[in-house]
Amino acid sequence: MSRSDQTSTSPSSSQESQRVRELAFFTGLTFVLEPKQKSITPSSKSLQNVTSQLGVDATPTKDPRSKNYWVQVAEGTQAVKIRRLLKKKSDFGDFTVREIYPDSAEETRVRRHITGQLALADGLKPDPDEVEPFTSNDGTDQEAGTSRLIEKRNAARAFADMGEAPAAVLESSAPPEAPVVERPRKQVKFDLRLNTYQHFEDQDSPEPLPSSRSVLRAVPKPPTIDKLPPTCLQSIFVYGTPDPVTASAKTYRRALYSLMLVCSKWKSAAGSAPSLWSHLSNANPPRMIDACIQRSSGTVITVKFDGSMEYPNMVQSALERFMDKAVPHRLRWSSVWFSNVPPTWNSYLAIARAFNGPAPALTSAKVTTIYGTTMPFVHSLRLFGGDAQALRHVTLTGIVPDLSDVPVFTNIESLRIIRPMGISPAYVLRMLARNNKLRTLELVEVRPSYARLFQNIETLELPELLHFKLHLLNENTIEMAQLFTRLRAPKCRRLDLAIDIDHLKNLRLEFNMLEFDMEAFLVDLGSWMSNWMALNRASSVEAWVDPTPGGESSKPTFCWQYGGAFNGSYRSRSADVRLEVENRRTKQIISRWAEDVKLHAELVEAGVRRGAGLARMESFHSYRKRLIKDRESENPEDGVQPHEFMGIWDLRNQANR
Amino acid sequence: MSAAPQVTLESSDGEKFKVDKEVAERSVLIKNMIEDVGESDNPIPLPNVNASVLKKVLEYCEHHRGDPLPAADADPSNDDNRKRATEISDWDQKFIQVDQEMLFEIILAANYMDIKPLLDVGCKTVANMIKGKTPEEIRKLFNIVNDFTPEEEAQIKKENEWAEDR
Repeated sequence: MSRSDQTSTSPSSSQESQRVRELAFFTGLTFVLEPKQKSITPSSKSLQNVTSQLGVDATPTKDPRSKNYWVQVAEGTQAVKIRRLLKKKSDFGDFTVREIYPDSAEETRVRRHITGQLALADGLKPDPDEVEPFTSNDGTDQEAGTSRLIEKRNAARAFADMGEAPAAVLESSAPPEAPVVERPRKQVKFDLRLNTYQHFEDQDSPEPLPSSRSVLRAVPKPPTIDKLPPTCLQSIFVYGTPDPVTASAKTYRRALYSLMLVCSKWKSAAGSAPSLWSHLSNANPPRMIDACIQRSSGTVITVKFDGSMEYPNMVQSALERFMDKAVPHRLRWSSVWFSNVPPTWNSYLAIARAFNGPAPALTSAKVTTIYGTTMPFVHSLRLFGGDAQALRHVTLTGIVPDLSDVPVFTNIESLRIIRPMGISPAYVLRMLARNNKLRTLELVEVRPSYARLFQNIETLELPELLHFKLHLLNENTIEMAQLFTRLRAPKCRRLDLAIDIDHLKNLRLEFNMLEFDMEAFLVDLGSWMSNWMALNRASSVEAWVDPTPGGESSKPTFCWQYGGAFNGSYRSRSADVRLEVENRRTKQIISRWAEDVKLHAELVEAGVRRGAGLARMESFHSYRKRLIKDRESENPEDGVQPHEFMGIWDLRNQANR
Repeated sequence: MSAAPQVTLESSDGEKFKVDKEVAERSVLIKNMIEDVGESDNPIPLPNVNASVLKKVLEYCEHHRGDPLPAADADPSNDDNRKRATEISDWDQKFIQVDQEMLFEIILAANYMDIKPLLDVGCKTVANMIKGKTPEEIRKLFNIVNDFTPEEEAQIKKENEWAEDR
């Protein structure tokens, strides 16, 4: 069909927007605004109110047969919003709102009317099918007309999916005698992101439209997604469902359910995708846990029990029931997480039973008690009898691991032990000393032992350790002195210590300062030192810089020492911070930092004397920022800037220049 | 300086594409074929991929020619992979902005030619389209026919009552 010259004038923007609306109709939804009082015509203001309530920008179309109005909305968030409003039974003022069911006779009537209006607006002779209102009430004709229109719409949808022109479809399937004036050719663009269609006049494209025959041939073409094999569908489903570990259980269940209700092929593909069913959680009902066990056969599973999902007095029994289902599949576990477990002997037994046996696929194990409470007994938890070669990450709160399961601990990459009872850091480190893979070690609220466990050990090498966190309870820290004089962690970049330094003597840490966050370290250390000085009335903080020969060497080794020598007199305690650096510029920075610590300590001490709590005092961090700002205003040329802490290498380069 | 070795690929409709061997070998299928048969001047037939789709696939391979190849055992069910589900690079997003017909053809071609990164991009794109949608909305989006009888639908709902539990 060729383009007609007389229709080549560009359509007005209103016509265009009407066309877009009409096209949206093919994939969108129609809602009816029905006046509550049939006898009274609603005011335009009340109509405007209801449309703004629905979030519809376009002007509603008046139903010529009644006092109703129609609004078309593209399928998507707006339609979902309106459906929610309808579900909530929101008040729409003078109107009631309802959705027209797709493919119903009412929808057909609405479409006829809008299509007819569109044709008239274009100055075209409307298709007889598109004339509204109906002149005949003959049911047979109406039915035939309806089926024709449904056919046409389906054809339009099929063509829109293929980037073809729905207008052409409408023309081609119209009765042969109907069109007198030819319509301008239109094209449809399908936007995947918005899932909307837009069409426009094609003025320039020389490509011919498909013939009527090819159009009709194309109509019964099956939906293209049907071509995908089940494996591809399953991949889509896995990406399309939320992560069962992080998403809420209900959201995940609904996502699965939606997939299974689309069609039989999708149901079969979803039901036979083990990875969709590979998460056992007590947040799901027992029937779903059974379904997951059944459908995930042959693949690894993640196991999660959360005590907070149960009634407080039912957690124990729920844990045991859950274990009954999960433990027989231990060989398939890839990660286990028992959280908010009651700190009781029975819970311990349930977990010990779960962990008593091989778990070859397990990579991560985590057990946390309610509020992180320590289990009130000393009984080490065996980790799979040492038969968990893939295990890399272990977190245990309130419970003690049995470190004699050597094969497990030689491969582990991160170990977090929080609030254990009856285990000392020295023992943990000694057991880990053979580990060349450990990158993170956190020992939180552990009590050091009094045994001299390190006395026969020269060094403890943890060559890959990046992060070391050690929070000790206030006990004898002789063991720590032994530890830190022997620990070698050349790659360690983050050190988090909370220890009582009262008893530390001549401790020395050596870490490679490459990429070490020196600013954060000095702020933390300074804050801690100044508070300690103030509270203990220490006599001095001394920055001691070792004048190492060859100070401009390439390796910026950084050492610090605490000397908290207790000589019997409370007042004469000192806290010597000894910073051994090789770089002149860094020495200057550290000297300035030590002065700041001292000044802050004096302020804190004065505050404490006045009776103020530490929490109400200015932190070292903000105090120091303020001090630096003041210095800058006094002497803008002052070379030592706070940001310089961040780049030791840069400082070295500057010094070299 | 010698030119990079090239191979010729032949689409199902007989069109030939001459590309660098490095680009063609993004496809594990082609890589294996070259290894099995050895280098020759004969075009490699791809009977399941037509010219327009092959052109698109090669555009992807050309852009990603230097990227590291994915591990063979990478599984979308892996947590990390799942987290990355919505992460599609800007270029890939623009590349995959095609109509549905072409999108599914690309997925099929990537599956056939064993180009996992491209298959992932296609699957993620479709996955993002179905996320949060009801079955009816999904059917409308992809023009899927609901082939369940009312009895079957009721049966599925009954079997999966757990979805609404708790």
